[in-house]
Amino acid sequence: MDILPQLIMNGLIAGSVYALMAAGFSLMYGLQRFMNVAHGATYLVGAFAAYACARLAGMPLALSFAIAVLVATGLGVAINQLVYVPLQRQKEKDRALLLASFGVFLLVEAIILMVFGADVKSFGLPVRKGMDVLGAVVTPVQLVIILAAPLVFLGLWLFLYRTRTGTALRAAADNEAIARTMGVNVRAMTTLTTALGSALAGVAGILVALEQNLEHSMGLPAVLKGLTAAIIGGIGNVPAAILGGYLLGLAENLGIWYLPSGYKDAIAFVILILFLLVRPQGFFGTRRREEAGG
Amino acid sequence: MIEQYLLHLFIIACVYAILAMSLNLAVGFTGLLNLGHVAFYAIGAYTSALLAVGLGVPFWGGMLAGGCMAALFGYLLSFPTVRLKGDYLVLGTLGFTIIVEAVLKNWASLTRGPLGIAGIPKPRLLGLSLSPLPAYALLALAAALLTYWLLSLVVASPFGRTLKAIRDDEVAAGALGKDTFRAKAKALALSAFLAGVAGALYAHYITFIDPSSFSITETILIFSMVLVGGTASLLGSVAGAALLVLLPEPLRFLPIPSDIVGGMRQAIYALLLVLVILKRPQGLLGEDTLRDAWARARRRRKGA
Amino acid sequence: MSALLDVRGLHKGFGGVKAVAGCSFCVRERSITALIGPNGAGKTTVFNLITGLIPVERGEIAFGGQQLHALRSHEIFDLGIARTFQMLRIFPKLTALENLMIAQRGRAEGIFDALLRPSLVREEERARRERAHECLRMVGLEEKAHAKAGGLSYGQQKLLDIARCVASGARLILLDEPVAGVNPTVRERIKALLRSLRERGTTILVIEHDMGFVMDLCDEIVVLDHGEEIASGPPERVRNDRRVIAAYLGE
Repeated sequence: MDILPQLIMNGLIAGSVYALMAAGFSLMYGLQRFMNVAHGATYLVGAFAAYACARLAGMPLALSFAIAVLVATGLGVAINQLVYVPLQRQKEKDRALLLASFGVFLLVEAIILMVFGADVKSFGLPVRKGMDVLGAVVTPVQLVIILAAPLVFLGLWLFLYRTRTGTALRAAADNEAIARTMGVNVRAMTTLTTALGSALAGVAGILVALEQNLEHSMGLPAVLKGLTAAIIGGIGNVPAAILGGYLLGLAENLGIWYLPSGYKDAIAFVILILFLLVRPQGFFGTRRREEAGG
Repeated sequence: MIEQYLLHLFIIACVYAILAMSLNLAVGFTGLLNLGHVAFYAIGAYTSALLAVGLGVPFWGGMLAGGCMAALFGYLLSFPTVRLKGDYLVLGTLGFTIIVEAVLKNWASLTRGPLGIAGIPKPRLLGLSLSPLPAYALLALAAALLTYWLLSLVVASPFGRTLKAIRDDEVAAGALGKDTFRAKAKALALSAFLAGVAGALYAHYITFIDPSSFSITETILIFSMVLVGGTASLLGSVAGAALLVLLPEPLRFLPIPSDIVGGMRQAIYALLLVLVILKRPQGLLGEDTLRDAWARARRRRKGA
Repeated sequence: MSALLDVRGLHKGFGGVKAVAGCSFCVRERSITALIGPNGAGKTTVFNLITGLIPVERGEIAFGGQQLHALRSHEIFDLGIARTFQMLRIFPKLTALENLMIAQRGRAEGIFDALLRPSLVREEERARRERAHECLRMVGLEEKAHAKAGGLSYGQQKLLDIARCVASGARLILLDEPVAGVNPTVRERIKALLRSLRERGTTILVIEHDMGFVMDLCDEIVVLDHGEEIASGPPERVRNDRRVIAAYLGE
């Protein structure tokens, strides 16, 4: 069997999750303007909430997923209201926001560790035989992952580009001050993007939970790769961030063709550092003008 | 028994004090949000441990080599990162930590991977072993004091003033003749050197190291010490290190499983970090707090 | 008298916008020259190009015969050009005195010099401190020497910013709107200060919208519009230039 189609398929599976994380992150960055590391906390909570509902409480899968997304969304909004909104008033708010989001992330991770313990958990879906798709072996769950992500993105696109609220949201992200004078409630928009972004992270968490083992430590790599994907694509640009997610997934999985698989996580950051060096505005981004004027 | 335990805490606190003070040089005085500090710590520890175990290099040589190796990496890391601002710098340095961690875990022929390096010898000085705890505690104290002395000299010098100017306004510092990239690279290299020394000090004390001692959580722990103590305050970093080393210690005596203890430690650090940022952003002993109090006291004395 | 600064055919665009388009002018040694023009004429961009803050796209800038092309801003400072910024860029957490000390270069500014050459550092610091006090006296901020710069009033910060250029000992000082938003007393003080600097041999290039200030103080005026110089010469000639009047009235 040729290994290339399999590596590409694996890349798409990983890329789906990164793209979901990156899209949520990018959406929030548009209004929050800082790297919200606590995005990894909502992802983690989404995964563990789905696990708790379906496996520990024995609820049906669909209900478990709905609850998990709601919990992730609620957590994201709560963090925004309790931590980020008060911090907006601080003098050095950029640094404060970033570090506070790190603190919140570690706090949530610690709570997950205390509640669920350090042992590895599994969703334990019945193992089905893989199917042959375009020369690669794909399990039904993996197929769900590959197909679910584009559906979510389609929904997101329809919302952002086909509704009034979506337009207001994009306007606020584009130029806060002007949007405000046009009657857009920027604060409400910030809450809304936080909710949306957190929901996306929750979905990403659930998809990962279906296929892989759950560990309390899985949040940080996920958020860092989501951030990396968003930077590779072009920060603050949702479609570019999604593409960045798929690119990163492919790069990682093709990269371990050459490198020992233990280096898989490091590949993403080598790419990141290269991008920061050569093209900090990302593949599709334009450089922001720093200081112009008459 | 109790003295042994207290001396152990003292040594660990000294190691973290060095780490926190050196990180503060980058974060508090230069304004570089470096989340890669633990990688320098790891590089110092591994360099010194490998030299000692593999080649029989004595502690002093290993410590120096560990510091220099870390400084070299600090200098190299500065190339992609000193041009970056805020968020990007954070992500770049964080990425560096993850790469170093991956190398430590995977380059097994050099680092012995997840198995770690055991049997790191304790140092000797003038033919005397420094393995008894009181002797090692003196060594750690001396290292912490030297770090404090060196860094307070540097931050009070014209070079230190340049760093503070870069922190406050990099464009203006450049327009006033400061080569900002070079100054930042030098600050990062010195900060890394001291972290490397702390790594050697730790490795030869514990005598066993593995990649798990140098995780990202550790980076945040050191960062919390700096923030809790107060940025741009060396004494604050020492206080922050002592506080955060001691704070979770009572957990050790509670009858709870180790998973939970680990979680609770992390929760304490994280909660403290968030609360300090929210309620007291300048930290417990921030530069402003200390200097203003000193100035007020002097004015009062003069006025009287 | 010869030209200290010689700008030839300068170009700079931001995306699709031409901020500076073929701008050329000279600044004579020991003169006060004004760079004026409507908003968006490219004045600050010219300053940023001269001081190496942004790269030159096309054209030449010569300072005392030396090309400034491809030099970084700290190297340009070392050649003897200091500047202020439209949006004040003082160091708020440093004291007024430290703000002026930082503008003075020395031989012992390295990371370990305080350790290796303590006497040289002490000596240079003493000289810097004296010079800083002298410059603070010059702008009337002597009693604020040990106050945090961020705590000074706006007018005092403007004075501090100019004093910082003076302390640097630069041959050419670029001032971006030095009297914008300051009260008449400070305005007169700045005017007197710039005159006395000219007496001592410093060359000054100033961007300013306050025409009374410009006409009263400057030896030469360069008028920019749409990134191009449309007139230059002594105040009385520029005042009556038809293109200048048209540019200002928005023809």
